[in-house]
Amino acid sequence: MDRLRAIAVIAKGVLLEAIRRKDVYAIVLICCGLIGLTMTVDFFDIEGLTKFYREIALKLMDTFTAVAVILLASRQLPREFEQRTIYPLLARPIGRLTFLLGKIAGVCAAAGFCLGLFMAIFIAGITALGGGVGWPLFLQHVFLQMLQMLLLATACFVLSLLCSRDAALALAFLFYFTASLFSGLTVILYDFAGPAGRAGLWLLTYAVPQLDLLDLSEKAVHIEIWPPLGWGTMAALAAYALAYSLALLAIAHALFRRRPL
Amino acid sequence: MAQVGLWVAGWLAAGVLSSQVDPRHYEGGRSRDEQARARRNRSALAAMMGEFRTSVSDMLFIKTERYMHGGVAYRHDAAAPAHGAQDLAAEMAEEAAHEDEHGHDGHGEEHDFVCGSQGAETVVPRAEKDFRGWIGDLYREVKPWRDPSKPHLHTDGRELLPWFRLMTLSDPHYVQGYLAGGFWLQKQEGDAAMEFIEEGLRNNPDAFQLYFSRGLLRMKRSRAPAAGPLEEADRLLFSAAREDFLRAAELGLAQRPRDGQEDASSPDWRTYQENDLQAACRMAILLSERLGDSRTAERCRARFAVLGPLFPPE
Repeated sequence: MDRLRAIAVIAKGVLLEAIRRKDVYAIVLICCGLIGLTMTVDFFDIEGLTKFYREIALKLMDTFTAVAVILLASRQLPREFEQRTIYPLLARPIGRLTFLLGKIAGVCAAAGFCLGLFMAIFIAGITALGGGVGWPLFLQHVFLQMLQMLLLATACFVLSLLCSRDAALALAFLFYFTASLFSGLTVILYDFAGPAGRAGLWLLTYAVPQLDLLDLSEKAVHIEIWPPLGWGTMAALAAYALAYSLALLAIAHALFRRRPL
Repeated sequence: MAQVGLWVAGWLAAGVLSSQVDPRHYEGGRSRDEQARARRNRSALAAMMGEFRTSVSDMLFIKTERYMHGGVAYRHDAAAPAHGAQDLAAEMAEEAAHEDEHGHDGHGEEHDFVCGSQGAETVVPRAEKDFRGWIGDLYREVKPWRDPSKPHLHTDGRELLPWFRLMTLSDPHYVQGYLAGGFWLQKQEGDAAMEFIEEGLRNNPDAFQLYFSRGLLRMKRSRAPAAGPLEEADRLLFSAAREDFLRAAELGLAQRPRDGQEDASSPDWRTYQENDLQAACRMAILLSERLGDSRTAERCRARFAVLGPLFPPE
C-alpha cells in the first residue's frame, strides 16, 4: 500500500510538472489549432466529407500525444540527475523500482491528459461535421494508443539511461516515426534476404516492440466497413504491450540500479 | 561592414536565383503521363522542388487507392492508373449512354469499374506468406486487411475528393488526379467537375484525356434524345463537346507511339490511354454525324483510320 501511495505521489508530481510547464500546453494548442484548421478546409463545397477530417485528426492526436510522451519521458531521469533532485527523493524509503514506476505512471497520466483533451476536440469536431464517432472502434483505438504510450514511455526511460538526453530524444523520435516503416520493410526484405538475413529479420520482429501493432487508426477512419476488434484480439494486444513494457521496465530498472548516484 | 555587404549580396543572389526557379517545369515523378513529361526540366533547383511535390502527390495517390478499398493496402502497381482515371472513356461514355436509355433520371445503378489492383497482394501478407507468425496474425486483425484472393471492397469515391484536391494542389501536372477527381466529382451536384477539369487543362494544356473528359462532361449536360432534331442549346453543347473530342484525338495521336501498344518500347503509353484515344475519335465521329456534319465525320474516319477499326462491323 505504501508502495502504491509512493507511486501515486511521484506520478502526481510528474503530471503537475507536465501541466505547469508550458510545453505540454504548446503541444495541445498546436494540435488543436491544426485540427480546427482541418475542419475549416472546404473541398468543392461538398458537405459531409468526414473521413478526411477523421484521418487527419486521429493522426494529429496520436502524433502529438507521442511527442508529449517522448519529451516528458526522455528528460525525467536526466533532469533529476542534473538538478540533483534525485538524492532527496531516494533518501526517503523509496525503492528505485517504485521511483521508476511512479515516473512512468506520471508520464502515462500526462499522455492520458493530452489524449483526453484531443478526444474532446475530435468528438466535438466530428459531431459538428455531421459524422458519427464510431464509438466502439474509437474507444478501442484510444485504449490501444494508451498502451502504445506506455510502451513508448518505458522505451524512453531505457534510452535515457543508456545515452545522453539528446541522444535518447533523437532515438525515441526515430523509434516512433519509423515504426510503421519498420513493420512494412521487414516483410518486403524477408523475401529477398538469405538465411542469415531472414534469421535477423525474425529476431528483430520479436525483439523490437511493434508500435504499429497498437495503431488502430486506419480502421477507425473507415468505421462503416470494419467491425470492432474481438475481445480475444484486444486481450492479445494488451498482453503484447504489457509484456514488452515489463521487459523494458526490467531493463530500465537494471540500468538504474547499476547507475552510481 | 563586410558582413552587411555579404548579407546584401546574399539577398540579391537569392532574388536572382528565385526568379529562375519554376517548379512547374519539373516533369518527373512516377505518377506522370507521357504528355506531362513532354517539356524538359529547366533547372536543378526546380527539379528538386518538383521531386518533393510529385512525391507528395504519389503518396496521396496511394492514399486514394487505400480509401477506395476501405483502407486495405495492396501492393501498388506503378503503372496502374488512379481509380476513375482508367478507361475514362468506357466509364463515362457508357454512363452517358445508360442515362440516355433511362431518360436522365440520374438514379441509374452505379458502375463498378475495373479495379486496377485486382489480384494484387496485400501489403500485410496472407498468413501462409507471413514469416511473423502470431505477430502477423495480429497485424491482419488490427490493420484493414482482406484476403487478396477475394474480390476487392470498393467504397463510395466521394470521400476521395479531398485527396484529389490536395494531390493536384501539390502537383498541378498530375493529370490522373484531375481525371479521377473529375470522374468522382461529376457524380456530385453542381459544376465542380467542369471547373476542376478546366483547372487541369489550364495547368496541362497538352493532356488529351482532359479534353476528352471535358467533352464527356459537356455531353452529360445535354438532355437531347439519342436521335431526332436538336435544340439550339443542345447543338451548342454538342459542338463544343465535338471540339474537345477533336482536340483530344489530335493531341492523343501526336503523343501515341506508332503501334499504340503497351510494351517496353513505349513505357509511357498505357492501354487505358489507347482506349481513351479511340473513344475520343469515336465520339468525334458520332457527334459530327449527330450534328449533321457528314464531311467532318468522313474526314475524321479517314484521319483516325490509323487506330484500326473504331466501330464494330455492322
